[in-house]
Amino acid sequence: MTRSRPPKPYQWFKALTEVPGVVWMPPPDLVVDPRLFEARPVADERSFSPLGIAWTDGAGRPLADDYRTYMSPAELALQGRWQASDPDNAEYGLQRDPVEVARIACQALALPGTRSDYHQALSWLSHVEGVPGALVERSLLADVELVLGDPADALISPWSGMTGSDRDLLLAGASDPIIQLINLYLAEGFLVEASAAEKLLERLPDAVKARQRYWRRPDEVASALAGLTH
Amino acid sequence: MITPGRRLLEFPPAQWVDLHRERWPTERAAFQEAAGQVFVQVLVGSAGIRRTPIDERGEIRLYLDSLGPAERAALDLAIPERDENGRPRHKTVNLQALVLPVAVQRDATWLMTQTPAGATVQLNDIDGVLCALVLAPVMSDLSAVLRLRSGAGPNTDQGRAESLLRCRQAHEALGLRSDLIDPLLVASATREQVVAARRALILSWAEHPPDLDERLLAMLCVQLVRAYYSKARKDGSVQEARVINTRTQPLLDATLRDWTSLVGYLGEGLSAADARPIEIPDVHLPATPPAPILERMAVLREWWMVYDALHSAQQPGGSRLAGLVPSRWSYVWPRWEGDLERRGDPDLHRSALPAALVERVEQLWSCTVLPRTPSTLITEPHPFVRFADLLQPAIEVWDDLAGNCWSLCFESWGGYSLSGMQARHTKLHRELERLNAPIDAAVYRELCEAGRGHPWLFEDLGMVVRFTISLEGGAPSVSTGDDRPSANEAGATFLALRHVIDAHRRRWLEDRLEAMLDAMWRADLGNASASYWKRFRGKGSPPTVKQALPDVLSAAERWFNADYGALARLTGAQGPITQSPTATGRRLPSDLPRVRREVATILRRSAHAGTSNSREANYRIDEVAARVTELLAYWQATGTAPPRTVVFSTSFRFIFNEFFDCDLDEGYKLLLQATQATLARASHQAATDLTLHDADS
Repeated sequence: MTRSRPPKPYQWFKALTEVPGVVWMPPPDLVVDPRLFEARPVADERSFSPLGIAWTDGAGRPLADDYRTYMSPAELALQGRWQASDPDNAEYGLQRDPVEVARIACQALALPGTRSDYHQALSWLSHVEGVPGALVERSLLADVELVLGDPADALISPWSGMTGSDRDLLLAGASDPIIQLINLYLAEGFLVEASAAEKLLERLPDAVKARQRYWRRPDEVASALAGLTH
Repeated sequence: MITPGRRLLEFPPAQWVDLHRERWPTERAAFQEAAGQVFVQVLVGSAGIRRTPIDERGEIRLYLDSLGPAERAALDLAIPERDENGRPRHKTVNLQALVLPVAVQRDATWLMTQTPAGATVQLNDIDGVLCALVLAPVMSDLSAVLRLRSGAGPNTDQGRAESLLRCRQAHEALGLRSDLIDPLLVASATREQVVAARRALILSWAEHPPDLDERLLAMLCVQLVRAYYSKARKDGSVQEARVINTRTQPLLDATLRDWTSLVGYLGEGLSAADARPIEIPDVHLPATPPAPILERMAVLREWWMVYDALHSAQQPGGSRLAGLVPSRWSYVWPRWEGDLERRGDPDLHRSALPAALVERVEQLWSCTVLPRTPSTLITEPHPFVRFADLLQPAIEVWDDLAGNCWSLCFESWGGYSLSGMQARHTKLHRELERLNAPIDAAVYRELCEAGRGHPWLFEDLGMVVRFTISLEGGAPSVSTGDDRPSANEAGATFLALRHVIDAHRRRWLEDRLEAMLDAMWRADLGNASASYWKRFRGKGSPPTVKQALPDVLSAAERWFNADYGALARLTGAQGPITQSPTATGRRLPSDLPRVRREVATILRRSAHAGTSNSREANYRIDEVAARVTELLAYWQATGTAPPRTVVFSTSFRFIFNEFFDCDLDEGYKLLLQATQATLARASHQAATDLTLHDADS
C-alpha cells in the first residue's frame, strides 16, 4: 500500500506544451478563449476551494462560480465531456462525435491546467471511437511522457482527498497509456513501433508497474509471423 | 468413378471455379450474379456500407446503399425468423474486414483502428443477411494476413498457418494477387513498408477477373464441400445431421440453400437416412399424468401453497423472505464473509418448509447421472436446485413483484420503479402464456394505483447515495436518505401493495396452477421426445445412450428422478435410451457441507502465509473446497478419482498461483489429499479409492 502523499505545492502549467518532456502540437486552427488562457491561480480568500486556491482572470475576477473556483481553465473546458452532444446519447454519453471530442480536448490542452487535467483530456481523446489514428497516436505519446514525468500528479487530481487504497488503484493505471500505445501499434501491424513502446514500461517506477501482463507482446507476434514464413 | 465433389477437393483454388460453373444450379444463376455485383462494389469500396449506432442490446444494422431494386429482388436469401421474443436474429460480423477498401482510401496509415473489429449485426433484412453470410466471411479470409500481423486471430501455430492458408486460397480462388500477401509477413517491416504493403494488397482487390461472381460462390461452396467430405463414408454418402451444424448452416443458406441441392452439386447420393427418413411416430402422452409425475405435481402444489401463505403473512419489520426460493447461488458458490447478513437466510428455502415437504423434495429429486457414465445413477448433490427448475418461470414474476415492493418500501437500494415492473416481466409473461398460465396484467396497474401519492415508489433506487446539506442556525449539517418514507408510511404502503399481489397470486394459483403444471410436464416430455426423434432420424439408427442424453436428461431429472429410461418408455422412444440407469452402491458422506468445510480448513493450512486471513483468500479456498462435490460425484459413478480436468478448469489456475503458489495439477493433488484426509477420519469408503495414482492416470 502506498503511504499518503505529503502536501505538495500546487503545480500548474500554462498549457500542455509547457510541460517538460511532453511534445504536443496544437491544431493550427485552434481558437482559445483569451480570458481562460490568461487565468492564474490565486490564494482563495473565501475558503470554498479544497486547495485554498482559486482561478481568476486577468482582471482578478473568478473564472467560475463559487463551487468551481478551484477548477483550472483546462478542467473547466473539459466539463464539456459530460454534456451529451446528442439527446439520443444522453444516457451514457456514449458515441460522442469525435470531431467535437477533439475540439474540446485540444482546447483544454491549450489552457492553463495541471498534469492531471491534461492526462484526463488526453486519455479521453485516445479512447473515443472515430478520433483519427494520427491524433490518437500523438495523444498517447504525449500522455505517456506526462505520466512518466510524475505518475502521481498525472493520475491523481490535486484536489481529490483519498485513502491509500484509492490512490493505489489510480496509480495502477500508470501503465495504461503505454499499453494502449502498444495495442494501437499492434492493431496496425507496426511491430517495430509496438516493440519500442513496450520498452517504455521499464521507465515506470516499480511501485506503479502493472502487476499482470495483459497485453500481447510484440516480440511474440513477430516470432509467430516469422514462423509462418518458414 | 470419382464424383465432382471429390474432384473439387483435389483441384487447386484457382480452378475451383471451373468445376463450380458446371455444377451450380441454373435456377440460382441470378442470385450468383447479383451477389457478385455487390461483392465487386465491396472490393472497390463503392458498396455504400452504412452502419447504425450500437443499440441498447449491443447490436447494429448494416445497409448497402448501393443496392438497387433489381439486385435486391435477385438476392433471395432467406431472412431468419425472429426469436421467441420477437427480436431479430443476429450474427457477429468482421466489420473491419468489410470496410477495408473504404478505410484505405480514407486513411491508409491508420487503417485498422478506423472501425471496430467485430460487430453484432441484426439479420432482419437482405442487407444484413448478405453482409453476414456472404460478404464479411469472404472479406475476413482476404484480410486474414492483417489480423495475423496484429497478433489477433488464432493462438496456435497450426491455427495461424490455417488462417494464412485460407487467406492465400481466397486470393487464388477469386483470381486476385496472392503474391502481395508475403510482404506483410515480414516482421521487421517498418511502418512505411507495412502501410505500403497493405495499401497495395487492398487496392489490388479492385483488379478482379470478370467471373468474380462464380468465383465467390465457388469459394463458399468449397467450404461446404470440405465439411461434407470430412464426415462422408467411402461411398460418398453422409447424413445431413452429421454435416450441417451452426457453422455450416449459414454457408448452406448463403449458397445452395438445402441439403438435397448440396448433394446434387457434389454428384453424390443421399444417405439412406436422408433418402428414406425414418417415420417419426406420433407421441401420445397419457391423458392423466403417470404416478412419478403426479407425485411431483403434488409436491409442487404444496410448495406453492406454503410460498403463498408465507408471503400473505409478511409484515413490516418482519423478514424479507429472501432465500425462500431455492437457488443455485445458495449451494454452488461459496459466500463472501458478510454476505450472510446482507442476503438473508440462505437456508430459508428448507427451514421455512414443513419437514415432510423437505423430505419429499430431497427424495424425489435425489438422483442424477453424469454424461460420461450415463448408465449409473448417482446422488444429486442439490435436490432443491433441481426442484426449483419446476418453479420457473412463474416464481420469477411473483417473487420479483413481492421482493421489489419490499425493497422499495424498506431498503435503501436495489428496488426499481413500480411503473417499470410490467416491462421487466414481458418475456416471462410470454413464457407463462405458452404454459396456459398467464398472469393478469391488471396487477401492475393496481400496484401503481395503490402506490399513488408515494413518489418514492416510482424511482429506481439503484446504487445511489442521497444526502442533503442544510444551513440552519449558521451551522451546516449533512443528512442522508431524507427523501425515504417514514417507517409508518412505508409499512402502510407495503401492506397495500402486498394486498394487491396476494389477491392476484391467490387467484392465479386457484385458476392457473393446475393448467401450468400439466402444460409443463407435457411440454418437457414432448420436447425431449421431439429432440430424440430428430437425432434418431438424422442418424438413421437409434442413438446410443450418451448421444441421446442431451435430449432427455433434463426432463428426466425434473420428472423421473433422472430415470431417462422411464421417460423414454413413456414417450414411446426406441433404442438403448429405454434402458433405465442403475443406482450406484457407493454412498456420499451423509453431511457433504461439513466435508466441504473440513476440506477448506485443511486447504487453508496449505495456502501460503500472509493470505490465509484475507477475505478474498478465504473465498477462493472455499471455492476450491466446493469442488469436492464434483470429485465425489465422479467417484460415485466410477469408484475412482476423476482426472484433474473434470474438477478444475483452467480458470482455477489463477487461484492456485495466487493463493497456493502452485500450478493446477499440484493444486488438484492438494484437494485430493485434503478430501482423503477428511473422509478417512469418518472412515468413509471413498478415502481409499481417491488415490493420487488414479487421479494422475
